[in-house]
This record gives sequence, structure tokens and C-alpha cells, in this order.
Amino acid sequence: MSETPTRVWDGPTRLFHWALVILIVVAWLTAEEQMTVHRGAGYAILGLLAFRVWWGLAGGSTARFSNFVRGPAAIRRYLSESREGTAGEHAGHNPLGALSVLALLGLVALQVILGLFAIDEDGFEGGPLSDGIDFDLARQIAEWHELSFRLLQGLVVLHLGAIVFYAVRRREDLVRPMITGVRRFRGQVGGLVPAPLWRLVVGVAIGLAVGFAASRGFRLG
Amino acid sequence: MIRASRKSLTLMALAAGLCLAGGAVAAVNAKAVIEAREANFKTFGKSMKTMNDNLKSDSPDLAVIASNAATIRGLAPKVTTWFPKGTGPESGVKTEARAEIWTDGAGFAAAARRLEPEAAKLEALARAGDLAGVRAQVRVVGGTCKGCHDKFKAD
Repeated sequence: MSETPTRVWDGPTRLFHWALVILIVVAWLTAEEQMTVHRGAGYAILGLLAFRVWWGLAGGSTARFSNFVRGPAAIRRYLSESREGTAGEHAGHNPLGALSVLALLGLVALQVILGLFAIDEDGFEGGPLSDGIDFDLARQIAEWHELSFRLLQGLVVLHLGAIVFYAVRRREDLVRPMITGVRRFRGQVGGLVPAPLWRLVVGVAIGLAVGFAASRGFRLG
Repeated sequence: MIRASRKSLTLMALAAGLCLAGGAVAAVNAKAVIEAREANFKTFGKSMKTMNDNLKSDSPDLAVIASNAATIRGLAPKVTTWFPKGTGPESGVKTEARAEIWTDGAGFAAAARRLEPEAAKLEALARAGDLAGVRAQVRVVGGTCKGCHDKFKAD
């Protein structure tokens, strides 16, 4: 069986992915202890998310929401074809994986936004917007911040489980392409259509601006 | 014979009933004590937040900071009295108080007693109009909260 190496993920998407992994781990390890680092990780994650939204609209083809977000009918079709073993190969997210991407991005967004308003039990360490709300509400939001992290952990476990499932049952390595950008397909699969460099520059500028604004509590001037 | 055993049965039932009632009273008390102390700690948290919010603003109000520091200073000496025996995790009431508060009573008292003098210092700095001093001292007061919580509070 000949296997064609095909580019599936562009550099910015891969960098986004691994930066997000590292920052979430950092935020997790520093929670309640090194709050300056914890907040910094949060601002950086918010900047990354802003970049990812831009990249989902204007980035490489496989990163674009319009190319991978599918309706329930497409997801059902993918599931039944998967069971029959007739599902085609995908360069990029398959219709089911798209749900996982949206859920992960959405929950990470919820997580950082809650963090902006949260405060610790001592009224001492808080997010940059916690000063706009009263102690009780900020404490309530801190509890949600904790709860949403548990949900996020659950989703990450599901994400890793899916990777193991594809590796074992389908003999498809999904990790390597997220590092190298290249995946080997059995058949001919249309690969990545990269985005021009200026769009990356705009995306990085958006990400930096959002991260910086968050660190100032969105109070500029 | 029968009379005697009936009498002792009645006594036993009475004793058992008293024990149950006693347990219930203790449980109600533990619940009330725990709720009251949680409300008190919330007052600390609120005061800290008000001071920190002020320090973050463009024009910190030192009078507000002084009055909140005074609130903390006033409550601080009472902290150790909010933890009578039987109001720990063994009470069955939900509480984040750790058993170490009672097994290491001296350590707990020492950690809790650090708060009053630091809050008093903060109040004095705020009254003296020393903004830089206030900024530094708020961190010390916050560190006192955390220092005690790390060891004696779950979660």
C-alpha cells in the first residue's frame, strides 16, 4: 500500500496547540499558589484563543471553522461510516473531532473568562476584573472557575482517549502530524491550503493585543 | 423481677433518648458555630477585597482602607474562639476546618494571633497616609491569612 505524505496542519495551528497545552499545564500547577504566574498564563491563553478565532476565519484551510464544523447529519453519517469501516480519510478534523475542538476551545474560553472575575477566599488574589464586582459574586465565580476546570480535565481525558482509540483501532497516529504537520494517507487526500504570511502577522498582533489588554484589566490609558 | 427489668428498660430507653437528643443538640450547635465563623471569615475576605480594590484604583481612599483594616484588627483576636471542640470535620457538618486546628492547638493559635498586630500596623499606616507602606503591609496581612490557611484549612 503506497502512502502519500500530505501536509495537514500549518505551523501556526501546531504552535497554537502546543502552546495551549503548556499554558494550561502551567495554569493548573500554579493555581492558588503562584498567582502572578497563574494570571500570566491566563492572559496568554486568552491571547492564544483570540489568535485561534482569527485563524479559524482566515488561517490555513484545515484550521478554518467553515471547513471542519459540520452539522448533525454529517456527524451521524461519519459515525455510521466509521462503524462500517467506509469512512474516508480526512486531512484535518473529521466531523466528530470538530465537536471536540469546539467544546475544548469553548470551555477554555469560559475558563479564562471566569478567571478574570474570580477572587480567592482571602479577598487577596484575584483576576483583573474582580474589583468591579462584590466579594460574594467573585467567590461564586471562583467556584465556577474550579468547576469548569474539572469539566476541562474531563474533555482533555476524552481527547487523549480518542487519540489512543485511533492509534489502536484505526492504526492512525494523530500525534505526529500535530508535531510535524505531515500525515501519511492510504489514498489521495486533498491536503492543507496554507494562508499567506500577512494573515499570520495580523493574527499574532490580535493575540498580543488581547493578551496585553487582559493583563491591564481591559483598562487602557 | 419483671417490674425491675421493665424499669431498667425504661431507664435505658430514656438514657438512649437523652443521648440522641444530646447528639442532635451538639450537631445543631456545630452547624451554628460553623456558619457563624464562616460569616466572620467572609468579613475578613470582604475587607481585604475592598482594600485591594482601592489600591488598584487610580485614587486609593486611605480612609476606607483604614476602616477595613480596623474591622480586621477588631475581629482578629477572636479567631481562636471560633473553633470550639466538636466543630471540626468529625462533627459531620461540612467544614473546611482541618483536624490540625485541634491536634496542633498551639500552632494554630500562634498562626491566628499573627493577624491582629499586622492588621493594626496596616490601619496605622493608612491613618498616617503612607500609601507605599499600605501597599506593602496589605501583602503582609494577606500572607498571614494564607499562612494559616495553608496549614489549617482544607482545599
